Amino acid sequence: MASPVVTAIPVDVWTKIATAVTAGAILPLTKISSGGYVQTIRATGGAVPTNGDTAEGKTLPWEGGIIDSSTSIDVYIAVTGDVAGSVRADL
Amino acid sequence: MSLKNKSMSTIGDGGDISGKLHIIDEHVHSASLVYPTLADGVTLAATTGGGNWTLGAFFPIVPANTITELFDIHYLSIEDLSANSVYELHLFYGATDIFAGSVRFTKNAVQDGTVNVPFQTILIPANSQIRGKLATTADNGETADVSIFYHTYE
Repeated sequence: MASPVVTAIPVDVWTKIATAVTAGAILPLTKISSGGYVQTIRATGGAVPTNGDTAEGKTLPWEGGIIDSSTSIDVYIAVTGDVAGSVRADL
Repeated sequence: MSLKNKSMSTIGDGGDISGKLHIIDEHVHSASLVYPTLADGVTLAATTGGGNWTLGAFFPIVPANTITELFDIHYLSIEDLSANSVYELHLFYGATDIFAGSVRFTKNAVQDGTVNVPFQTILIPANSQIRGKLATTADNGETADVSIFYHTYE
């Protein structure tokens, strides 16, 4: 496993934080007082999600998320709210 | 990271970690099966004059299309050894005889060598044949009758 990577997550911008993975963990680092984090995935190499459209996003709770996929995926995180956030990826 | 933290969400289809956990669970809890079943074990023969520790010819143990699910081998049943010697059995799987594992057992003046020996293989594709080769330190055409204990995985 590589060292954790911290990535800034802008508001309403899908930010790729993992490429071609099947396992790992994503841990929010910055608390979002109004709003929160959402996650989505793509098959590795698939089209980037549309910025500003978080309808397909699933809530990433403050406790984090475990990446667990039978096939290789790219993982995207966005922030819904009015302040940017950050997450740590343990891959 | 604690996999027991139920408040963490899952990202992805849950098929990697949970899939491995499923296989581990079946490895431990699926029913043990034997082959041959309700029949004598398969006889393998070592070389005669081929030199100590020379593997003999291939002997079929499980025909292709007999075990129709993914499986692995957990034990070998050694049911008869023809002479005092140290035996080494190599198993191979599939049409191209991929090496599956090896094990040793002994017959001497104080033990007849009939025993169940632990064995472990990778997960073997469904419908694979299993064949074996036998070698001994005595190199006098010794034979061993064996059966396999295996588990299947859905």
